[in-house]
Amino acid sequence: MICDLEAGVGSVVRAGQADLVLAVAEPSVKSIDVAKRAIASATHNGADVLIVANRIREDADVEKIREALGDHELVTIPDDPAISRADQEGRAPIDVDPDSPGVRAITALAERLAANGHPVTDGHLATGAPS
Amino acid sequence: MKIAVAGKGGAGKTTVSGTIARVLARSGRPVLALDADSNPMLGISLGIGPEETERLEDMRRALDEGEVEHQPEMEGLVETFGTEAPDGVRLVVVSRIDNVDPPCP
Repeated sequence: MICDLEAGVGSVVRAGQADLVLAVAEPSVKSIDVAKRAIASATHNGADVLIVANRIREDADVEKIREALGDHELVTIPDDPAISRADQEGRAPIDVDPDSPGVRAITALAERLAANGHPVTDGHLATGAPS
Repeated sequence: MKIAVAGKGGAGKTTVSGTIARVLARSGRPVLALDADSNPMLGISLGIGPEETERLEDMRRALDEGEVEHQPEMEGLVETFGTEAPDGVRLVVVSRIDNVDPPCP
């Protein structure tokens, strides 16, 4: 089960059942700040944390994110025009250009997650109905 | 395994979520993708297209306005608020997870 949370950090607290929180940050101060709070929340809830450093253009971008977010595993996704193009066309990046650098990096991350031995199951959604 | 993807709006959460879901599904695993974003665009990144993505968003709006019933069980939830995406990913647009207890899986 993969859950694309609402923007910001509020829902991370409520995602307490996640095994793994991917904290996506691009090299902007605001984005890093939100990721920092998301990581604090995830850690508090006992989830594993993996930083996804997105839209990376140069090494300094990665360092900026790493320094601010501390000692967690970090995966780098290069800035990728194919992903912007997919957005503009309303299509999946993996369908637009599966071999572009950004899509390949995310694919490699997913393959690693798949190989980690965690069974990816359907799980059971919360039974309490939202009111 | 339950993976939550967090970050600032525009940071790339939806792209990361959608692409990971597709790759995991290709490896033969059953994947349920939940779109908990207030601007639910995960369908686009999964490849179901803008029209179907908008239809699911409309369903959630209808739920918020009381026009359709909540679906507390997984089966009804997927049927009513979900759709099949490429590679066999099941996508569900979830409503207001702030009121769900236990929280978003």
